[in-house]
Amino acid sequence: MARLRCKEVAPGLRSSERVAIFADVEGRDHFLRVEGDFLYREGEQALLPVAVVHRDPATGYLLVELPHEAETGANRVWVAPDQVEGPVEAVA
Amino acid sequence: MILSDREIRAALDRDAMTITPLPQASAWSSTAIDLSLDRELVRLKKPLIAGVPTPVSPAEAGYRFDLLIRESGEQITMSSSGHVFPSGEFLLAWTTEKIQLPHRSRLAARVEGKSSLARLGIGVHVTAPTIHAGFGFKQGDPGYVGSPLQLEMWNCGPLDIKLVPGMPICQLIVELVDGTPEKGYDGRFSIQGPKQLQP
Repeated sequence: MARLRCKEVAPGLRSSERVAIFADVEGRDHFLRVEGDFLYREGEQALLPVAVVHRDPATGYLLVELPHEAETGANRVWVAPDQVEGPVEAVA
Repeated sequence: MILSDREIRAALDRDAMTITPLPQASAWSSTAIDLSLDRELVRLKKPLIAGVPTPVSPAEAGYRFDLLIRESGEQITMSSSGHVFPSGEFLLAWTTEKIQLPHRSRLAARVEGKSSLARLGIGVHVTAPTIHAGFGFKQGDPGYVGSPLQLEMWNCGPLDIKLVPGMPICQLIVELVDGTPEKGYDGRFSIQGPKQLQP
């Protein structure tokens, strides 16, 4: 499973919840409310589990599917390849 | 295709989905499982700028959801005596149960209301009932049992309704995804990425 690097993690609506914040390739921030322990941790870095749907051969950008709809309305976002860790391959 | 109770049990047995804690037998029906209300609720208040109620613009590029909830989310923790949900109000709530739907299972689900509460004017979602394949799934972490379902609760009836932690609040309907989701890179897809930006 691929992991999307978050630029920030903010408090959520309740104590167990966090807001994972990450940018798409156009620089727009997206906000996804998740349980705090749903995020992977590598030291200070938080990573969000995502599924890679597609890699654009022209740009290398990755289209990733989020675990659920973000507060911006996105279910899938284009991200830069260096934002994603882990295997970038089929999971279905 | 909606799964029957027997098919849901079979899916649970083979870890094609998990529900933690598993609802007791009385919560099951032929095609759904009742889920219960967690004790935490959130009421949203209008954000104020210089004391003036300000509209929220989720479609704008500068939308900052994290700042919005910091200013507008009021957390309520219900005691065992519950919380009175006034007529005309809106609350965010969560299920006690945590759900996991691994991608490989090709299962999705829907959360729907209970007719007994609906007849009192209580809704549990605002036109967003779908739980997609992959929900609550965190590969490689057996300690993560899934995510609770968030409910968008509204009381459009004339009565004030008392909510109590643990009460049956919604029902989960499990569906089979037809075919294999287009998920995973194999380099052969025809869809194209955004061309206007270069990495």
